[in-house]
Amino acid sequence: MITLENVSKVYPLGKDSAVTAVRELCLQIDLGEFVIIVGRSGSGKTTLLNLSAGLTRPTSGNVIFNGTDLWSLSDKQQSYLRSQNIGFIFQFPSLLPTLTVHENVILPTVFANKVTSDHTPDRAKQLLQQVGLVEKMAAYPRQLSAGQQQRVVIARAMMNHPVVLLADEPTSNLDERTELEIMELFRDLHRSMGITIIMVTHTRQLVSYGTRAVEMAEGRIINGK
Amino acid sequence: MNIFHLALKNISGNSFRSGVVALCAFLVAAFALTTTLLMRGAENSLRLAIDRLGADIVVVPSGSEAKVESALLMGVPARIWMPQNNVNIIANLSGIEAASPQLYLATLTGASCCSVSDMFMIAFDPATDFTIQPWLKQNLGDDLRLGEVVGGSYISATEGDQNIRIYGYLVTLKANLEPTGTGLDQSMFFTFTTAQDIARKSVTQAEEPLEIPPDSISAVLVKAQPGVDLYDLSAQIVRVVPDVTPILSSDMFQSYRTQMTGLLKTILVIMGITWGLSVVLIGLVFSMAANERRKELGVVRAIGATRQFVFQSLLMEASLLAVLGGVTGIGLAVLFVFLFKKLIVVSLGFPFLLPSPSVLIFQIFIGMLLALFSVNLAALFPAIRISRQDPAVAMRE
Amino acid sequence: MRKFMGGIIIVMALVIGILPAFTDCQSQGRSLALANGKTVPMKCHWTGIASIVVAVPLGLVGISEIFSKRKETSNALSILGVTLGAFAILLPTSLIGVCANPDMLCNMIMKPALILTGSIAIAASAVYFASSRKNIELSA
Repeated sequence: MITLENVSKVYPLGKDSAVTAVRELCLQIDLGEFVIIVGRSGSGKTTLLNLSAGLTRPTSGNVIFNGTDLWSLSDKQQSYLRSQNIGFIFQFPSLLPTLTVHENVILPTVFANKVTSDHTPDRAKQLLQQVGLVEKMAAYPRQLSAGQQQRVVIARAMMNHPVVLLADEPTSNLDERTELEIMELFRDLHRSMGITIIMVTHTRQLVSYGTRAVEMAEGRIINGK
Repeated sequence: MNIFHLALKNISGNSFRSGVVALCAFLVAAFALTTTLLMRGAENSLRLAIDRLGADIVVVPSGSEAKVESALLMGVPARIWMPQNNVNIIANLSGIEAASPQLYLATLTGASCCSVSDMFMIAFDPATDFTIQPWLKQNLGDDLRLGEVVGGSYISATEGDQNIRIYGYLVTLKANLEPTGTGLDQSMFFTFTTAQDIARKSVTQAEEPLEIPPDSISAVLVKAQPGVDLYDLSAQIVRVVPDVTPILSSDMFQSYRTQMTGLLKTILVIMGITWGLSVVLIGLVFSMAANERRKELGVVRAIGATRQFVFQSLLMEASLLAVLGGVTGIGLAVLFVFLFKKLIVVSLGFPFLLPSPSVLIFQIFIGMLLALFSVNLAALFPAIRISRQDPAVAMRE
Repeated sequence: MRKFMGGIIIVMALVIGILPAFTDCQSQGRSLALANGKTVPMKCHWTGIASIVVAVPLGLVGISEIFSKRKETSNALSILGVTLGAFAILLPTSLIGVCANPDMLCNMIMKPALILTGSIAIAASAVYFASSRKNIELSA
């Protein structure tokens, strides 16, 4: 599904300095896996996730998605691939504040050219029902709690029937109870739909929700390759 | 949902920022339209005034050129005289097709015997006139009789339905001429015979009599034969007629033209500065907005938007704000110029006439284009910068 | 947006109420002399007085628009704003009028100013009405 071959990412900090976020990393993630990547802050987990989705270009190495080298594609092709195949859940509040909950959920269909489909409003409603927020369709993000916003983000991520969900510390801003609710939702999605999930977290206790755990430190995988 | 819908949502999501950009577009459009309206309006007005004169050359007493221009352009009454015989001398020159005398008169200031105060009046000789008569024949089908007048577009009857009192004498307003935007719109035209009749009767009927020096005229309007060099003709006139100045119609109102050009240059400079400042301000606002929305745009890229989509959506927002501000600015500018045109004429000291609807529409179109261009130009670099940014970098703290 | 429109209406009300006092013929020392020797103000003066009668409620409409939250109140305020704006336009043009001479200050400044401010008051009320619908739907 996703293969990272000797991938490195170096961020320049100024004229003479740089930080290496990921060092010659090799990782393969297969279809249907629920991979949880753990590590401390600064271990390169988020960079690894971004590299997997083509959100940042590797300094060296290759990122292969379903047999295609991501960086052999044009921006348009890459963006289309992302819209069709990848759902994102971010750490920070990522709903667009000027759109309603419903509009946020159907936003990915605008980029996948699916917005004219008759099924779009039905699917959005169904997804919001699944995350328990159908009554908030007309609300704006500022009218929702952090946990509710994150559930809407999950619904948005599922809108285009993605094959993989990438979640970057999705529960770090939530209280324990809400965190568990979100993790249960992920587990349900993985089990019922067979969707591949790659989740990054610094909370080791969440590792049990996944089918595989990968531990990172200083830009390298130290366990679970 | 589409790019237009998204842009509208983003605009309404930050009223202050959108308001600033729309205000800049408003200023650019309003200023541009007002300036072009004034320029074209003044030029139109001068052209119509010269056409209304109908003469190739206007011969006036030496030293009275400025007074004559003031009278014809701004309606400020002029009392100037020269010997009546001048018209005969001029008419006999070679190259002259027609020569017709005119008398420049004025009503009294604030007197009860004149229902309009300080109004410029022109008396013409129907036997030789070639400027008013053709209009009369076309529009009235008849000459003016004793006691009848035609007025500029602003003249209206003040005594009953059709009458105006001048020096205690009731004249009948037969018709109004088309507007020129000049002082001629507030002037009256009647025959020499009517003028003499008013002068005779004013001795007993008016607070002060209308005095027309005997055997005197104010100006001679000259029509040259086709192909005649007007400068040569002017030189001839100066040679044979003492103490007069011939003014070519193409040179008429030159002092006003110079004044207009000077003023309009100033306005253009101010407009240029306003435009520059607006573009800089809009650029700053869009830069700030792009920075503030960095993460949001990173998210949008992550979920499938192309760089082109992000770029286009920012320019769509810019264009919508330009249209909003531009339409408001243009609407107010047109309304302001239309409503306050008299005040503009008095304040600026030169004539003004609104252009025809087709010219106005064209100028409105140019104003809108300028607003659209300015806002998009200002938003261009922030839009390019933010659309090219790595989504992962954009979403970083 | 609604508060901004309310602010615009207040400014228009101030102009409508105050400007005529300084631009009618009475303020320039001109009045009409009757046959019996008495002097009376010209009609532009009465237009100015009537403008105050329009300006005061219009100002109150503007203030209310800033604080109003209910749909019914917003509707009523918009209608009132449009009506008063229309009156501001009609006063110098057909209801009472101003002096005929285009050179007089009432014709040059007062009349066009009342028409302009009346038009802006109408436009602001219309925008207020439109934006009230949206805001009220959101909070429902």
